[in-house]
Amino acid sequence: MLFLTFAVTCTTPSTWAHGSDQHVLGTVTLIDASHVEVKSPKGKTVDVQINKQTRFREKGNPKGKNLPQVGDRVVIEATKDNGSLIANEVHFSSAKKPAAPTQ
Amino acid sequence: MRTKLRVFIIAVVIGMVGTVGWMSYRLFTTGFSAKTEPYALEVFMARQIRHLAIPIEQRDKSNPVPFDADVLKESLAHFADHCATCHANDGSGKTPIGKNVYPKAPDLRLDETQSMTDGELFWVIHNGIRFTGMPAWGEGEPEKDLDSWKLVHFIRHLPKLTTGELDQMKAVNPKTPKQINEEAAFDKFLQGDDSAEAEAERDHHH
Repeated sequence: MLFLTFAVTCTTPSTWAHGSDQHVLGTVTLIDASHVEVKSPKGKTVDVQINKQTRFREKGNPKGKNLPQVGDRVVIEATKDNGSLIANEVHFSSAKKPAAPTQ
Repeated sequence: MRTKLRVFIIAVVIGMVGTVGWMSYRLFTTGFSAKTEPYALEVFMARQIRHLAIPIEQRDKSNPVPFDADVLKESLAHFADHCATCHANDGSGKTPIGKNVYPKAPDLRLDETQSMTDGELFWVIHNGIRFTGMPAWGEGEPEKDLDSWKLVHFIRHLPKLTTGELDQMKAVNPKTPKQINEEAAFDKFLQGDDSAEAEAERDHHH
C-alpha cells in the first residue's frame, strides 16, 4: 500500500484531469510544429501534441501571433486521446520579459 | 400458397427474434454502459424517429428572428452560458459531460445537425430529446420563445466561429469557485510563481 501511494505521488506528472481533459503546467524544454515538451517545477517531463486546431495565447498579448519558445512558462489545456495528450490551448508567458500582472 | 405463406411468416418471426436477441446480447454485454457508441442502425432509427416525431408544420417553420450583429452577440452569450457545458463553445461536444453522456453530444458543426431545418433545430431546443442528455429548454408558447430561435441562428454560425468569438464565450462560461481559484493559480504560475502549481493541484478535485 505504501509502495502504491509512493508510486502514485512520485510518478504523476504536472497534469490535472477532468475526465480526458487535462492541464499541463511547466517550462518549455522543446517545441516544434507537432509537439511541445514541458518540464514541471517538480522535474517531470510531459509531451503534448500540437495540431492545426491548437490555439496559442501569450500572457499580456492574447491577440498576438507569437509562439512559445524554449524557456517560456506554459499552462496547456489538453485532451487525452488514445494515450496521447493533444493541446487545445497553450497559454504562455515569455521568459525574456516578465508578464504584466492581471488586475 | 399456404405453405409459402407459412414459410414466410416463420422466416419473419425468426428474423425478428434473431434481431431482438442480437440487440439484447449487445446491450447486456456492454452492461448498459454510457461509454459505448450507439450502433449505426440505432443512430439511423433514432434520427428517423426524431424526424417523424416533429410535427410537419413545426419542421417547416422559418426563423421569425432576423439575423444581425446584436442577435449574434446575444445568442453567443446565451450558448456559452447554457449550452457550452455539454456542447462546448465551438459546438464540437468535446466537454467532460458531452463526451460521456449516451448518446454523446453531437458535433453541431457537422452535416447531421446543419442539415436539419430551422424548425427542427428550434423544436429540439424547445422540447429536448427523450432518453438523451438534451433537456427541454422551452417554456410557454413556441411562438414567443425568441431566445431559442436566436440560438438556431447561432448554431448555423458555429462552423464559422472565429477565435475572437471563442474568447468572448470563454469570458461568459459559467465557472465554479474551484475553477475560478484554479484559473487564478494558473495565472500566478505564468507570472513566475512556482507555488501556484501546488495551489492549482490542491484546487483540482473531481
